[in-house]
Amino acid sequence: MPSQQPWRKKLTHPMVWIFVLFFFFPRFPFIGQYLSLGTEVMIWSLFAVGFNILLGYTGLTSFGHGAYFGIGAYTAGIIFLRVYPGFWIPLLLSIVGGAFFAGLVGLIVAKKRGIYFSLLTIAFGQVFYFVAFRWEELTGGETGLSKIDRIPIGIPGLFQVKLSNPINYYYVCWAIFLIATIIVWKIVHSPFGRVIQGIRENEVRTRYLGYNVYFYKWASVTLSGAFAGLAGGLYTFLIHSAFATVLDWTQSGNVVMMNLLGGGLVNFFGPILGATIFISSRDLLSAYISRASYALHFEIDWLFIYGLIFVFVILFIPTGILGLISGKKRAVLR
Amino acid sequence: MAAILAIDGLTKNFGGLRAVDSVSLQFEEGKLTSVIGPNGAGKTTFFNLLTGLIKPDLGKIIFKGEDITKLPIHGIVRKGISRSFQIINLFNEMTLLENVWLGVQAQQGHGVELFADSDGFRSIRDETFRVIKETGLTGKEETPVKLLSYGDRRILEITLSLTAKPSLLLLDEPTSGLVSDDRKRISKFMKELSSQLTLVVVEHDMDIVLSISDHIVVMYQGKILAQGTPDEIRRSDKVQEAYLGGQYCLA
Amino acid sequence: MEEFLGEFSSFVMIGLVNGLVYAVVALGFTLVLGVMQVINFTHGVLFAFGAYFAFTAQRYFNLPFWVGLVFAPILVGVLGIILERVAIRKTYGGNPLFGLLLTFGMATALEAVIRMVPIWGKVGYSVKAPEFVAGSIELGFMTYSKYRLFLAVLAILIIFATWLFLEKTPYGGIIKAGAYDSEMIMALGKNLPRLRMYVFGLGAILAGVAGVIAAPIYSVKPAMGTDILMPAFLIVVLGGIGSFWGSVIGGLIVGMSKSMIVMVFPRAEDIIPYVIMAFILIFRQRGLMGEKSVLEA
Repeated sequence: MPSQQPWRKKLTHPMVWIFVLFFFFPRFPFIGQYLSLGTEVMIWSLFAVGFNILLGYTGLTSFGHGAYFGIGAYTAGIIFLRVYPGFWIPLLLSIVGGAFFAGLVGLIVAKKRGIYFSLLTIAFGQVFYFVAFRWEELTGGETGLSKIDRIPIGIPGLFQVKLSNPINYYYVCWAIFLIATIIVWKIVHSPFGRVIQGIRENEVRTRYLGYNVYFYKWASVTLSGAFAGLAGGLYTFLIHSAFATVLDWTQSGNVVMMNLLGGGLVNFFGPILGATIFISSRDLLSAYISRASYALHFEIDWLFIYGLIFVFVILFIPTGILGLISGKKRAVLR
Repeated sequence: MAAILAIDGLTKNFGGLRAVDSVSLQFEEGKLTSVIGPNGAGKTTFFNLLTGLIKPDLGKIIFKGEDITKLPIHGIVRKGISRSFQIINLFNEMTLLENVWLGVQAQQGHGVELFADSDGFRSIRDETFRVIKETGLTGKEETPVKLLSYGDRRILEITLSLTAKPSLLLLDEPTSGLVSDDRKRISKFMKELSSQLTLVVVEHDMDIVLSISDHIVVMYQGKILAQGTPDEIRRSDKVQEAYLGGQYCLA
Repeated sequence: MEEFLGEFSSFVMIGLVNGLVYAVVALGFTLVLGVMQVINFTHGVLFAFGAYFAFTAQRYFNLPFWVGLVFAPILVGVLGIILERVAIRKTYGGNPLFGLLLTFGMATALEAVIRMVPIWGKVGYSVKAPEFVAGSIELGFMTYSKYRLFLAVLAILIIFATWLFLEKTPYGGIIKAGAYDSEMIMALGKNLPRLRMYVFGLGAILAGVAGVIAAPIYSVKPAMGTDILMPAFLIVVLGGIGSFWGSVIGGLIVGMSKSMIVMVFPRAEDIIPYVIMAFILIFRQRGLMGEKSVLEA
């Protein structure tokens, strides 16, 4: 955890060049035009980095965080359509929504750990899915919500940024992603960050040092829920709609996989790498699968490949890509 | 001398097994009490009950006049009782420094600060280095605990429990698995600690027990078989009988 | 009045029958969860395979129902054991996320396989009930499907057989103990890997047989695995992990509550079991019949 380093070394810190890369992404030849994809990568990276507070740093595997992403998504949509057609207010409330419900569920799940914790998060995650599906008046049921526009933001009289322009929205998301990542960095390098890592390494001993472990676990769940909600809200504005599928356990599985794949268990920036690979390869993969299906005269189901990739990663790259590169045998985050 | 810890009718059952059976006991402040007894006598369960890891079925635990029976582990620690473990229970992947830091940080009341830079806490840093120096582990701060020698880890096991600055320290088989030299080291350490706080030690090494204890409690099948000064225990027939066929010689 | 009673008892019966199917599924799930501490996402798709094998036997080989009933679960059991040996066993004892993601990935891939198998594909099918229990029966004021009654009997027999195995056989006793404490099994010196394999196989067989008997009343479609797995999670939390009766009673509670709520507030059908689960958790943290297990340690 370097706090006193020569400024030149600081420039090569991953935090710097990752965000520089993302900043110049729209200028890249060929791929720079895929702004929507780039924005989506940043949104999921934000989700994954915040989620890693719970997964990598506290050591608790929640398989139900897709629910808070979805709650954030729906909150933004509902507030925009029914309460206030703005940008910042729905977004802010999506953070609150994610945090609130994560906090509620957290009260119960924070008492457990290991498999029991995961099991409970799955069960509770499902409730929100069903609510979104069935409470049609609120969520639009199966059809979901649509026509959620990105209105211009800015300071009246001074300047205006038209978010409807994809490039503007990309940079706003970039800024939010940067700020969010810095916040998470601060959190995990704070005294709080030390305690949650203690909980991950040895929960009983952490109790015996005098820490109220229940509180710290609850806080971890809630904080990661807040980031999930924020990501959900940004996503709704990206695709101008909110569907129940953002809440199902596939999304929960996706974010866990992103963190694992990139090496979130061994490195702070692993989740960003994982999200980038996961989201960008998704489209690439489906294109290849269509072509292969065509060539073989047999339709290969995309989910078949998707599932097999999960299996492959678990069996052969359990410490993630960054773990593989740094030669870590055990998944341990410092 | 006042009783710093008073236990009344403490009982714990596991299924059909009565691990701790109606134990009533008092620990005097400032003394070093050893708890001895054959394996399975209930000593570790007793410690687990005292420190809140498990809850008793019956009985009360009064610490400095306050009923702590229902308190959670961290609550009991905050009141001033700390404990070390029979099987080494450290943060193995973390460095020595990080282990002690975590303990000191708690004692100084930190942990909730979400946005402060953890490295910037001067008071924690200074105290951590002081503790490490005092227990003779200087120079090994950056070593991951899993790479330390067994002897060092046993010392760290006790050190970590001391970071909470307890008034009552429970040590569960602190010399377990150690060679003779290291045993003497720890034995000396315990004697020194005894002048600063109240100690309760579970031990199997009778030489150590007889040399450092002010008071000895003998547990057998979950009950208190006998208690008294080292001399009294050495001469007790009851105690000799309980150990017959065992590995202990109380000559 | 008679009409109401008729309708009411029909809902009760449906709830009971569904509950019994849930119970069998939950039972298989909780055994694996308790003994190996693995959240087995493939349990749902194994249920689906049971139904699909039975469907294939009936539709393509024109075999009588009982052939499917006997052989489909065996096939599913074999499939389960293959999954366990090839991959799942590598995740035991580690961070739960590995087992979760692995079985999740396997389940997704396997469900896709169902969609890709030419004779199965993506549409739903119906499986015919065996001749001797086709149609309905009149019991006083209600008309009830004979097959559902038959299914109830079958499910009860399966549950009873499992109970017999766990309670009365020595091997079953070891498994039962292991559902609470796998360290105990190791201490007993038994061949742990082989035991785990058999437990997984047993779980798979239970999923498969549930799929076979449920096939005539559910639509046989690829998503049926996911549909049945969701309640399974909630049942094991509600009933208690590793608990035999917890799964059975939990299954019945879920089945009954779902069908009862349809009578007054149909939209809450999916949610009511979760509400009940939340209530139970507030008063009994480990579920109705859960015991403190290594799972929380």
